[in-house]
Amino acid sequence: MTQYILRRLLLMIPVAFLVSVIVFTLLRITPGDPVLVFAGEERDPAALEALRHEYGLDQPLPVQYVVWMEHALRGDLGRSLRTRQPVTQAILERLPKTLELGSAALLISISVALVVGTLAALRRNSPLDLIATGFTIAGVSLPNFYLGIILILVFALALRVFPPGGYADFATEPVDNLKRLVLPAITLATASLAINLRQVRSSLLDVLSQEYLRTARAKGLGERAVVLRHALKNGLIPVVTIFGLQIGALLDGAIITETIFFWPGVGRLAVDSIGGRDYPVVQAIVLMSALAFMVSTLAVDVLYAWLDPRISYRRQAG
Amino acid sequence: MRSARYLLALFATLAVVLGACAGGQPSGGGPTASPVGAKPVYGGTLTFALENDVIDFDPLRSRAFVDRNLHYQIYDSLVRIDPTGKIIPWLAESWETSADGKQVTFKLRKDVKYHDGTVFDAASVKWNIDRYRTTQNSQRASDLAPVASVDVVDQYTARFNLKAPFAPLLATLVDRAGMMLSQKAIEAGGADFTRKPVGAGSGPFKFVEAVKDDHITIEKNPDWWGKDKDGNKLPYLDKIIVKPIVEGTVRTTNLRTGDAQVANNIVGKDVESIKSDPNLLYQQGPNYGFDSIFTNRKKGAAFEDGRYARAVSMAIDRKQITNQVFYGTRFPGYGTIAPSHFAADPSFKPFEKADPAGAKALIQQIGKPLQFEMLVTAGTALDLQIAQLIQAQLAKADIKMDIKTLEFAQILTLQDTCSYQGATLIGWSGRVDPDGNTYSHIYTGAPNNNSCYSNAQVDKLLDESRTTTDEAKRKAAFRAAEQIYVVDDPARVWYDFRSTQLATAKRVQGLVPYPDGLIRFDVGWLQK
Amino acid sequence: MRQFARRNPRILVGGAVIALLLLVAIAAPFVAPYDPKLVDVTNALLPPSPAHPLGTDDLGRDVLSRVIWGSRISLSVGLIAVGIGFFVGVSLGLLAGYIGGLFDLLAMRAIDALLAFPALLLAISITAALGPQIQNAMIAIGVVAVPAYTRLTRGQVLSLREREFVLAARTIGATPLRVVVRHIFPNATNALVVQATLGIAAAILAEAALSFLGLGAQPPEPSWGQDINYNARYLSNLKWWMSVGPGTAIFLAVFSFNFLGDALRDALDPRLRRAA
Repeated sequence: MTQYILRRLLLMIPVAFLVSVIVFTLLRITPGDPVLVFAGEERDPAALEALRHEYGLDQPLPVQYVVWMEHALRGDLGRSLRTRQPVTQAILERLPKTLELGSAALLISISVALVVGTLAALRRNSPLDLIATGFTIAGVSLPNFYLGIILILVFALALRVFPPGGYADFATEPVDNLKRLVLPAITLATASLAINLRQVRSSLLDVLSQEYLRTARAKGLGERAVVLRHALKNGLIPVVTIFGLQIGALLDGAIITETIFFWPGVGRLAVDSIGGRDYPVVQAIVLMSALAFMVSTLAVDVLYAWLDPRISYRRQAG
Repeated sequence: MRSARYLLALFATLAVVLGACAGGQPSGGGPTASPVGAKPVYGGTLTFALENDVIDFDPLRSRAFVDRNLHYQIYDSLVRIDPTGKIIPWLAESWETSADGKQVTFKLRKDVKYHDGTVFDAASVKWNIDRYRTTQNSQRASDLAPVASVDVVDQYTARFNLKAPFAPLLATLVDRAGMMLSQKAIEAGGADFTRKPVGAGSGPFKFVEAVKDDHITIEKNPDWWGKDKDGNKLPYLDKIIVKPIVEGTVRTTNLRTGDAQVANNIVGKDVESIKSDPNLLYQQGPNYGFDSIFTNRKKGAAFEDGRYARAVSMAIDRKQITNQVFYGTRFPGYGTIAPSHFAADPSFKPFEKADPAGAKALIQQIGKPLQFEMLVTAGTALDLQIAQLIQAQLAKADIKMDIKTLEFAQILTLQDTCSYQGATLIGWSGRVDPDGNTYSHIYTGAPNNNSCYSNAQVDKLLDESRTTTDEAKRKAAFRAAEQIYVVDDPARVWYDFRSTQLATAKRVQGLVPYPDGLIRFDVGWLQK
Repeated sequence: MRQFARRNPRILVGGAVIALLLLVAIAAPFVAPYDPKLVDVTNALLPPSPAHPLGTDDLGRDVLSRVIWGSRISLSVGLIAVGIGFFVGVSLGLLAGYIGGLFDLLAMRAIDALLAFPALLLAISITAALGPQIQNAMIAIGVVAVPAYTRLTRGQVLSLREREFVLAARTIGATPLRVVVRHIFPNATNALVVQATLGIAAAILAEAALSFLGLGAQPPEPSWGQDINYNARYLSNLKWWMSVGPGTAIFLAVFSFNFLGDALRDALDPRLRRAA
């Protein structure tokens, strides 16, 4: 097992390297001079040249890459071209906001999926089950920007129950913070809720039809005990995988959700920085999220093996 | 006559006048504003919804227009403008220009201290101007290029020595190039100074903190030198919290929900909802900014023949644009000289009525039909609306305009080298002197001349407008040039002038729109 | 075939709805009541009425007509992007699985790298790099979809490679290409068909998201995602109809493909079949 984890960790190095090369190359072949974006209305050629020099953009591309990589390996991801803020600081300022939104969404998604999914599986073909099954397809079919817009229209503009967007600091305005969290969290949660719900329901149905449950029932255990003690425990193994993999999808959903709700998180920073050609910021976000994705995938695999002793990783090829 | 007291009295008077003229004051229920001119009270915190986050607090580095919204509260500059655009004394109490126009001598206020306690004097002026002129990455170097040196005549007299007479110098010193900062504070701030300008200004408010994309806090400078018309110390407000909110509609929403008490730059479609809100006040005044279409005049580009640019100018319906897209918050415009500039000619309306038939005839005369590509920034709904409207208007003159969306950065790069095929949309936030609106846009090879326009006669007139200090002569030169670069041999197509918008909660008093679009909070106060 | 359909009514329903969508897209010039690009400012921002069932936008264009024409872009992007992803992904998967060795190792690391990218961020970056046009959005969405097909195909190849009929084909001297194309690929199609159907749904969503961010179709061409982005600013003035029209259209189209894909999965892919 340890060997397996080590092997996987080693494999991350070339992948991370590839990711960094891809993002670096993609950004640099994207037409548009960052200095012109940041220059605003001040377009004096000498000043532009000075900026270009200051940012190191007058260096040959391979040199720029090596310089960046060297610093990155030492933990220095550079400074934002636009704001001169250290990139690490820029990301760390926004990361808690994205994590808050993401965890709220995951919480909604997992808890609703577990409860409704279990009930739907137990009462197959009941109205609840039919609605739940319909939702598993509808939920993934609803573009999150459209869902967000509808929520804003109904709950913020027409009913005025929640604010239409923006962020409030939890430390100083906790109630306002939570109020502003509700609509974006629901928006972000919906698609993953649909996936989770489907997974919970079908795994449970799978397990419920298995031999040992029949044995348990035959032993005279109550249905409640059967479900809680046997079915849920075994049925949730594949569910763990799906949950775990959603951490990777978090940033994707956050990009759109944060844009619609003016939530100042990493997703919005990423989009703005691509548009503004703020190379160091984009490079850092992509690299960090790629690493986070790989680590969480590994964690899921390890957890999976630990939960289900039948799985062995010894012989599997990477 | 040039005392601060006079100036503030002027402010107050204008506040009354403009407040009354602003119009759109809603009638009907709800709390009503106290009679304008009521006695100001001290205290209170105000939240200002600003259109974007401030990037550089250091005027030396600042490139974005939005930065100036904070600069004006934290720093004082040598001179300022009044709400009509007239240059008035500020840190400089008076000034004199030598007969040959090459020396300008400023008498400075003697009661000014920076927030860190250091004294403002002529040596400080010299240090600041030299810093702007000679620092390697200075964005102000070109503003101050005409300055050869600054002399400290005595402790409170500074003399600017110019390489050649330069009429727009004072207007330049109104803004960032004339802002005075404490040397001690800058040196203490180091590399992070531009994000944390602690103690650096001498202005009515002191910098407290800035959290990126979240908020900026400034608080009252109790030792500021400014006084109101009754001799009371300014500012009245204790604290201002600035919240950067990029989306115009969200700024309006914040205003309406009371999360903010002041907002500028209101989206046209939202103005009606502010006017009809009994708790809000909407003011609108003139502005130096304009919007235009770059028509690429470079050899081989679609508008190499300037007559095509004139045809487009003739064919578009400016009134329809300002009504349909901007809901009357902008006005049909024809050139760079805004109505509130001294050189403005109110009768200069060369394309007042859309004339598609005339445009068609002109193109027939040229011989080859006009088809061109308009670059629009991807995803910007307002620009797309303008472009699609213009597209439909031009179709009436048989001009085929294709829209091509590109990312902003890419358009800038194409513009910068005049390597776009046809046209792009371009706005300008406006400058105090018509020179700032014109020279860098029109003069051959100038940095904002992204239509690669070149006309020797225009260049000559613009040079003249810089070197003569005689206002009548400057006016004549500007007007003669404008006739050429707008009508006879058009550099591009102008379609509107902007307005300064100021939306506030009714209990916010004393604020008036300035043509540079910036709010002066020193005279603002909150009704209890 | 008929029996197949009778046993799988969901496939029939899903297929029929998609056929209808395709028909509308093809027949747009005849179905749409107005020219979708016709600017008529005197009729701007009209709420839904019998003359304009979905109202008009800020340039007076008929929203329903734009929704109908917009289906062309969404559906073609969905089909073409999946085509790109399918072709590249399946070829790569077949090769990696069959050749193995160093090629497999390198190809799979590249796939890992693509997977490690946040998908939407990758699509945005690719589209930005190539230029924000619809063709480039198609390519970007296709590239993002590649890993799914590669992994699926490679897995199938690995499990089939040592099976008797493949070994038999090899011993009688079939060329590797022939083995792959004739013997392995057909056995992997069921899972791929399911993946592709669901992939079209995902591609339509991705196109809408890119268009929503301004990286899609060229205005004034009607496009659902772009039209939502263009019109959403009027929501605060409670002018909702211009956003709701295209939004509902996206939902319907994506839903139909997901519905069909789901039904196909149950019918074609026994390993994935759950007690649904």
